[in-house]
Amino acid sequence: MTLKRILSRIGALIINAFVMLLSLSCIFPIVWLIYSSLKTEKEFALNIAALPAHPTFENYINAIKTAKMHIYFFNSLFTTVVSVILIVLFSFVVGYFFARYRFAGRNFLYTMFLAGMLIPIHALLVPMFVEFKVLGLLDKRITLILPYVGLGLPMAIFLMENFIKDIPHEIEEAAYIDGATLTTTLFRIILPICKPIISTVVILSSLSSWNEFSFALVLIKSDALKTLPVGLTNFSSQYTVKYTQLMAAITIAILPVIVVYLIFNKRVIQGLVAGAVKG
Amino acid sequence: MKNSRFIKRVLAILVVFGLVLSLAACKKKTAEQPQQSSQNKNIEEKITLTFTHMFTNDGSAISDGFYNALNEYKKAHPNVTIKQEALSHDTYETKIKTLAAGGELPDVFVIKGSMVDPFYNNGQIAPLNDALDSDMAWKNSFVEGAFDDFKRGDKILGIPIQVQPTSLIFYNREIFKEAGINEFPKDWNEFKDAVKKLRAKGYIPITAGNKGKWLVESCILSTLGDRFTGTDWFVSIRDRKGAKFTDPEFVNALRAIDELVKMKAFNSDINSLDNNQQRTLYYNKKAAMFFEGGWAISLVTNEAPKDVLDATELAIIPPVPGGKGLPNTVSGGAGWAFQINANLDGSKKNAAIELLKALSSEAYSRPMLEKGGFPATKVTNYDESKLSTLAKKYQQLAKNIKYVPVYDVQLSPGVIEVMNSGLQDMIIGTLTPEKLAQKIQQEYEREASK
Repeated sequence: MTLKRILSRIGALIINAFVMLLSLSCIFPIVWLIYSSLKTEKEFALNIAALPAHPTFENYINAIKTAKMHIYFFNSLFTTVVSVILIVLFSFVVGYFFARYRFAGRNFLYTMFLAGMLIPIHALLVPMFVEFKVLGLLDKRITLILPYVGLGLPMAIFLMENFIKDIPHEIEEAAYIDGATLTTTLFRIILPICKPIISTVVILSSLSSWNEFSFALVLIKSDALKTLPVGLTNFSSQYTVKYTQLMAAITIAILPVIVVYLIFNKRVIQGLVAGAVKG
Repeated sequence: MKNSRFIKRVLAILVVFGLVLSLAACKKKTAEQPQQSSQNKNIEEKITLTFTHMFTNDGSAISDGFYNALNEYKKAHPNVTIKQEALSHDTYETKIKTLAAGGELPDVFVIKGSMVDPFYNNGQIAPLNDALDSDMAWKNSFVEGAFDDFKRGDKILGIPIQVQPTSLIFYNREIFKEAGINEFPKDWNEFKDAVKKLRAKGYIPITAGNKGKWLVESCILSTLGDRFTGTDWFVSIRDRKGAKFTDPEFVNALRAIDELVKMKAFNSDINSLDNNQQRTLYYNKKAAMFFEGGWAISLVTNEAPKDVLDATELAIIPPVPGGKGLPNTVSGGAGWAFQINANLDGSKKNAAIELLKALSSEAYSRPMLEKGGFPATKVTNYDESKLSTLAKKYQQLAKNIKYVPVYDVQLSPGVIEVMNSGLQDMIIGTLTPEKLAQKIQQEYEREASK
C-alpha cells in the first residue's frame, strides 16, 4: 500500500519535473532577454549567456531618447486598441446575425468573410498600397486601423458565429417575452455570455495588430506614426545588429502583450470551465 | 498656378542675373549685397524634397557623415525642406520595391546594384552623366572604381555611398607567434602551413559564420577566386563573353576552400553562426583569425577586449601559386548608391542634384573616414589622430590594394543563390567542388537561354 503510494508520488514528481523543465525552456528566453538588455554591447559580444557584470539602464535610455520608442509605443497602443474594439464590436454583431438569421445571400456572405483568412498578407501589399494611394489614405492615423480590422474580422467572425450558434435559443425567447428589444438582447443578454470567446478574439487580434509589420512598413511614412515592429528594425544596420539596445526595446515592446495575455488568459479558462459545467 | 510659377522663375532668373552683373561690375558695393541676397531668398522657390534612405542615426561612421552633410545642406539651402524617412537596411529594400511597384518613388533615395536594371528599364531612374560632366571637380573627386557597380555601358546610374573591401583577414598576432608563425604567410602554401600549426596548438584557425550564406562567398571566395582566375575571367563571366564557372581556375578556387574545410581550418558550426557570432570565438581567443569586410574594423574596435584588440592585425588573402590574379587585389565596391527620381525637373531636380553633391562632399566623407568608415570620395585632409589603431592599420594596408568585383554585387541573384547555397553544401561535404561548379554553370546557362 505504502510502496504503491510512494511509487505514484515519485511518478508524479518525475512528470512535474518534466513539465517544469518544459515551461522553463519557454520562460528562459524572456528572462535572458531582460537581463541581456542590461548588459553593454561589449559584454554581450564576449559571452552571450552570462549575467550582466555591471547592470546598466543605458540601453533603455537610448531606446527612448535616440530611437524614440515611446512614440512608436503610443502609436502601436492606439492602433491596436482601436482595431481590437472595432473587431470585437463588428464580429460580435455580424457573428450574431450569421448564427441566428437565415437570409438571402447569407451563405455567400459568410463564405466571403471566411475566404479572407485564405489570402496571404504579402500578396496584398502592392495592391493595397496603390489603393490607399488613390484614395489618399496613406500616412494617416487611421491608415493602419483599416487593414488590421479587415484582416482580423474573418477569424473573429468565424469564432463568434460558432460560439453563438451553441447558445440556447430559449434564453433569447425568455428575454423577448420579458419585453427586451433586439439591442437589449444583443448587448445585455448575449454579450455577457460571449465573454470567453470575446477574450479569445481580443487576445488573437491584439497580438496580430501589435506585431503586424508589413503594412506598417509600407503604408506609413512619417516617423510620428510608425509602430513598434518597424521601430525595432532601427537597431540593425547593414552589417551589424545592436543586440543589447534591441533587447531593451523588445522588452518595452512585449510588456503590454504579456499584460493583455495575463488578464484575458484567466478569463478564457474561467469561461471555458463555466461553459462546461452548464453543459 | 502655372503662370505664377513661370513669373516667379523669370523673376528669379532676372534677380540672379542682376546680382551677378552688379558683383562683376563693382566689387566694392558690399553694402548692397546682403539686401540683394535676402531679396533673392524671398523670390527663390520653396522646394520640398522627399528622401527615403537607410541611415538610422546609430552613431556609426556612415550615419555620422550622412547627418553631418545633410545638416550642412539644409543650412546652405534654407528654401529646401527635406522630408526624410529612415529605415533599417533590410526593411528598406521591401519598402523601396513596393514604392517602385506603386509608382510612388521618393524624390531622392538609395538603390542597390541589383535594383538598377529594373528601375532603369521602367524609366524610374535616369543616368546622372550630364550632372557629373557639368561639374568635373565633383566627378573627379571619387575614388577609382567607385562607379563600377552602377555603370551600365557609359551610363552612370548612381552616386556611390561608400566603397569598402569585403575581404580582409583579421588575425591575432600573439596567437600566431605562439604557434611559431612570426609573420603573416606570404603565399597560399605558407597560409595552409599556418593553419596546420594553429590547429596543432589547439586553436580554431579561422572562425566563420556562414548562416546568412553570403559570408564565405563575399568575404573569402570573391577575393580568393580572383587570385586563381584573374579579373578578366570575371569580366568575361559578367558580360557573358565565354568564360565558364567550370573553368579549371575557378574550380581550383573552390577546391582551395574545400581543402581548408578538410584541414578543419574552420569551426565545426560554420553554417549555424552568423557574422556577428563568428567574432565571439575570436574575442575569446579560441580562434586565431576571421575573414570579414571593412565594416568589421569599427566593430572589433568597439567590442574586442583590449588585449585581443592590441594583438589584432590586418592582412589580405596571400597570392596562390600559379594563380592568374594580381597579389594585391581585394573584392570590394560600392554596393549602394544615391539616386534621384527620373520624374524630377527644373529647380526641384537642381536641388536634388545639389543634395547628391552634398552627400559626396568632404563634409560627408571626412567624419566617415575619421570614424573608420569608407567614403567613396577622396579625402585630402583629415585628422589622423581621430582614427582608431585598427583603422590606421587599414589605411596603411589600403595604400597598395586594388578593388575587384564582389560576386554577389555583380552577378544575377539566381546564380548567387546557387553559389551561396552550394558553398554551404560543400562545407558540410555533400557537394564536391567540381559538382558545385557544374551546378553554378547550369544556372548561369539557364538564365542566358531565357
